[in-house]
Amino acid sequence: MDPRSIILDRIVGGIVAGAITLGQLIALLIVFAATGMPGWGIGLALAGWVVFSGVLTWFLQIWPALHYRHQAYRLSPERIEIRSGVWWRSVTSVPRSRIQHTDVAQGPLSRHLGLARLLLYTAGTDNAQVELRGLAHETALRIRDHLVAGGPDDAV
Amino acid sequence: MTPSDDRRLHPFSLLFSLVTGAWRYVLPALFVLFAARRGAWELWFTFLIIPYAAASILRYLTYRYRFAEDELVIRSGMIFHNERHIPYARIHNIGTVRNILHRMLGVADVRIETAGGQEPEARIQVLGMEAVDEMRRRVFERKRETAEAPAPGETTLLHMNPWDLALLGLVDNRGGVVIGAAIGLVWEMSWQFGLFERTGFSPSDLIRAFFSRSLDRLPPGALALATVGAVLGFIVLLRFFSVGWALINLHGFRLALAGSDLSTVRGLFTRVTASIPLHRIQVVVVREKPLHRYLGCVEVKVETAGGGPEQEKQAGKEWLAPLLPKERLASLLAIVQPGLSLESLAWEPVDPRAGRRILKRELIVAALVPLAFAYFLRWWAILLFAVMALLGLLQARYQPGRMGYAATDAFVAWRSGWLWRKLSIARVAKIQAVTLAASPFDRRYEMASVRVDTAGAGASAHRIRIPFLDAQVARGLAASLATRAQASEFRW
Repeated sequence: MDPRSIILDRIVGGIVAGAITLGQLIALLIVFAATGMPGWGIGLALAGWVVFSGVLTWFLQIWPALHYRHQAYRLSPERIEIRSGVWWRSVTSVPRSRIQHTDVAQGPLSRHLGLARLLLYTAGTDNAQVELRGLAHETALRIRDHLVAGGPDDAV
Repeated sequence: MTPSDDRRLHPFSLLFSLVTGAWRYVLPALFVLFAARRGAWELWFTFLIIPYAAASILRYLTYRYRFAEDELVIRSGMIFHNERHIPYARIHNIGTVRNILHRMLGVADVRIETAGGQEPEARIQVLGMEAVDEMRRRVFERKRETAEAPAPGETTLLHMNPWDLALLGLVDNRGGVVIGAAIGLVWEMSWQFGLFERTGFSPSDLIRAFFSRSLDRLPPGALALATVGAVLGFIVLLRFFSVGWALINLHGFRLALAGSDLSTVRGLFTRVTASIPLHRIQVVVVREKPLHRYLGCVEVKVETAGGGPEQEKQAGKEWLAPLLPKERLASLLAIVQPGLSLESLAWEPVDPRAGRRILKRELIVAALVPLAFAYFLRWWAILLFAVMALLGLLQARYQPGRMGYAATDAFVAWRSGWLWRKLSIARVAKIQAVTLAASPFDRRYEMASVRVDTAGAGASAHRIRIPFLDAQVARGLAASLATRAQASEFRW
């Protein structure tokens, strides 16, 4: 996978963390204003909020690196295997002939970093959509072309 | 077949859409008209029926469908045009739902289901029965009569008479569904029309009054007896409703095979037909509840491509045999999944360490749950723990023995469960993806699980997921399944 994906995930993580902590701060302020807690109560709550935000931000920064280390794919003539997961690991193999169609998607941030997502659609239910995130855009396109060409046609 | 020209909806469609509209608007409208409080905004509600009626008429006039070379084309709408193309090859089921009105008028509500859809691709309300036949003929390129009566060349595989159904009702407890639905309906209607405010009548008051009055009068022993009696009575009532449900919903259940097409018919008031082309069966699921075992029967359902979670229970997951004597299972499976021989499946067990893991898991849960509720339960929590631990022990002892998988060249099967048994069989050709998964607990023991994904597995369906396999074995299994799946061609 492309290392730039770590940066992408970190940025996203940062945004999410920012949103959550901001939301919590606002909620806390409302609670303070409404109920008028004693001084030490406010101090305690604020301290808790700071600690929580700190932990959350730190976590959201190191997670992408961890995730990156455990995510990989392998292309073979008959199928594509995708390995992912840090705690709950899984290797998903999709036989070539089962891929119905594919998508290469980019959000504004990923476009800026030259990354893309490759989505493989199968007829399955759990794995109706198999996703490969954090690929370099050209790699994603290459894989897609490789998968779509070659391989027997299905009677659909 | 030669393409056809445009067809239109049956004229009675108007009637049906008006009836559905009326049900939704006229009833509340009437209530409002007769209520004490006039001039409220609810009155405006009644005027909504006019544009609704106009819309139905418009829809009837503009709805057209025709049979092209290899797809069904449906056009509708006047302002917002919509043209839908459904390739014949994609259509796996043309189902009909007919309630009493439909049957009286000789029409049907047609649902066209394709693969990969959450709901029917197209719902045509209503078509005459000859039009339905034509549709079935053209789409499936087979001459078929409606499944009501056996057609020549068709063999009935299973027919359930009312006694069978009553038995099914007793075994398969659906009473809860009926009661739940009834209560829900009453509650909703009452709140919607402020029944309680208007008539100064409230269920909570009623219940409270009843209990306080009776509680004061009864001696304590009688109260315990009354509670037990009430619980028993409730269970009996549930079973009663369940039998009723089975009798009505599955009345005259008939499973038939014509060529390579299965068809089922069921229902007393509302007749539902489904056609299941054999090659569109993805997974066959056989269930055996404790009561089933007592009677020596099983329940068989199939998952067909295209069924997703829907309001109805059986959408995409069709009954093949709601209640079947166990001896007939092998022969039914041989017919429904040609090439499958149930007896000759070589069952492989899961890893022997599975028992230890299950025991650990159950004990932890047994400890945590009472702990969580310790505040409410106090000393009863210990009893709860004991009970749960005992159950966990039993599970750990008996479950691993019952778990097993079998993978041949053409099929993969998975059976599980000790009290509630389940057997799933899927054709390798229908496998969409294979996942090898390992949780942190798995990794500690060097085990893994293999999951097989197929089309149309319902939300509540217990998938083919084989846990507690030795990591090496799991890897090998996943690889061989994936290879075999790639080698076989997937045909919808």
